[in-house]
Amino acid sequence: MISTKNRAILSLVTALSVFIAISNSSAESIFTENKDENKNKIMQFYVNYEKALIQENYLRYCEMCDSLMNIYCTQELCNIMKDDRVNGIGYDFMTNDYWMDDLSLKTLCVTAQESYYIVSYQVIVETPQGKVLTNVKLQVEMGDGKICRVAPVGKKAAYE
Amino acid sequence: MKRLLYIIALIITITACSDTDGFFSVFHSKAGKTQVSPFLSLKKAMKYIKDNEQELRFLQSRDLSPSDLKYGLARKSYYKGQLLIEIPVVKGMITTGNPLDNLDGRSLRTSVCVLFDKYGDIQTIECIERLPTKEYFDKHGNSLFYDDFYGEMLIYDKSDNIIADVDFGKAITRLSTDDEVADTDTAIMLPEVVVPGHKPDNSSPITPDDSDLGNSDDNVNDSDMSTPACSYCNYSPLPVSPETNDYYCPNCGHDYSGSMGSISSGSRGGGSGSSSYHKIHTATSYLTSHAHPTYNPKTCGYCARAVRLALEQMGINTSDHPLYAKNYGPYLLKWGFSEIPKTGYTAKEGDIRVFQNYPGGSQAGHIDMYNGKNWVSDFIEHKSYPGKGYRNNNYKIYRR
Repeated sequence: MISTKNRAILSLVTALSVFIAISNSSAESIFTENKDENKNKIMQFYVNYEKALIQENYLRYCEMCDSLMNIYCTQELCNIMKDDRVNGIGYDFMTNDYWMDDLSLKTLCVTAQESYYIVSYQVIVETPQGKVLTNVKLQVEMGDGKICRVAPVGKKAAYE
Repeated sequence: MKRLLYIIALIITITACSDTDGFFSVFHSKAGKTQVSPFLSLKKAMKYIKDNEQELRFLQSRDLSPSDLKYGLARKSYYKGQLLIEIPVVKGMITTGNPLDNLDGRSLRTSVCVLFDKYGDIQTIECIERLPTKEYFDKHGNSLFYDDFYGEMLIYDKSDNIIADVDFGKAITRLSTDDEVADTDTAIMLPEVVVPGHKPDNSSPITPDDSDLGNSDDNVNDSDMSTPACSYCNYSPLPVSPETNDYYCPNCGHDYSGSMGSISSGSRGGGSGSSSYHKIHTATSYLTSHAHPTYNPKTCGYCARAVRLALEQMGINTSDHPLYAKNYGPYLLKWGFSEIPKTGYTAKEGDIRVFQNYPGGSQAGHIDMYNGKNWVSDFIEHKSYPGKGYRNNNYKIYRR
């Protein structure tokens, strides 16, 4: 027979387990919602960014790029891009300088990892040896709902 | 009795939940010892390379990943009766098989060779550098299909036209063909990786001499060599052409005037140290070895200085050099360079591009030099153009 004291302890433990399970699942669902929202944002950014990148007119590209980055990226990342255009070679840090084309849009994929997102796509890269179809994989990190870091997966970003 | 059944059920559950390799892998490895199938061996090689990426130093030193090994083009061979599988290495993917379009031979420079012992276990893994011959492309009908071993994939261009068909079936056929072995001409062996824990029956490493892979006996690391050798077919010694006063290869016909390729390491000890090839090669080697592997705005931005120091390696006194990269055109003309038309242009080692500045970009413009593989300034450019702004921009090409 279970004593009254033991029964009380058992009820308490059960209640606690139920509480933990509920709180965990709600936290998880908020986290999942956040991830989905971020994934959508990243996807939207790269879909629109491709439109900027295919611009033949460089100034038009800069204009479109800046306006997009102001919406989706942190100020720090915007400044890094702008600064390199004037003082560097105009490296495209958002794609690790692979750029994007129409094929990229067809193959664009964003997946959520534990603390970052993987953006992958294919692009035809012009090299001195000819056109090479390249699989691009970028590690994108979010901070305060904006893209704050873009780097090749597992490596340093070009500006770091 | 019930308790016993419960324990048995528990064991079955734990086994099912654990890694499924458990029982089956033992079965496979036993089966593998009785029959060495190229297909299973290739699968084994794929798994081994993937699992031991960190141990295979040739991958790190060349910035390669297991996905750069194109298993679909793997070919089998035999070395002293042992199965040898050669896996070509290509960075990225090739869009089409037309060599006139985008294959100039450099794509297949590197291969990874996996040697299996008589039990079907991996004995050694080696990285070799080689170049395909014209016969290679002829034999394959100018078609090359790259992808991982499994599946079929269609690749489309911007206009939705199919530009490549990666075919699983063709990969299998190619793998099971014995005679497609020695259709490459040069093999430069790099240090072998002996698979840890393996006790090879035959401890001697594969050498180009006695393997089926090539006919070269020159090792690129042999610094004592003093005879110039062709970097394309390893023919040695290379004679000097009386017309151009530069090396040429009577075997494969490769011409080193203008320095398209690179001569094997021993060539520097050759007698013609003052030839234009040597000057250009010294300059490009200097530039490449001092360049950053990738662009970084914090450390880069000195393209003009990098190229100027390389020019000094060619014996040019650059004390009166221009300040900005964009102003190097007339300066290069003064030093014996001439402008090359861009129509039908093929890059040659030592070529220099001078880019003018563009609205919204750096005032200094840009300058870079071709090292035979990449355009290089103070960093190695991995594409045809250093940045988006320079793509459609006004630039000129100079050659000495």
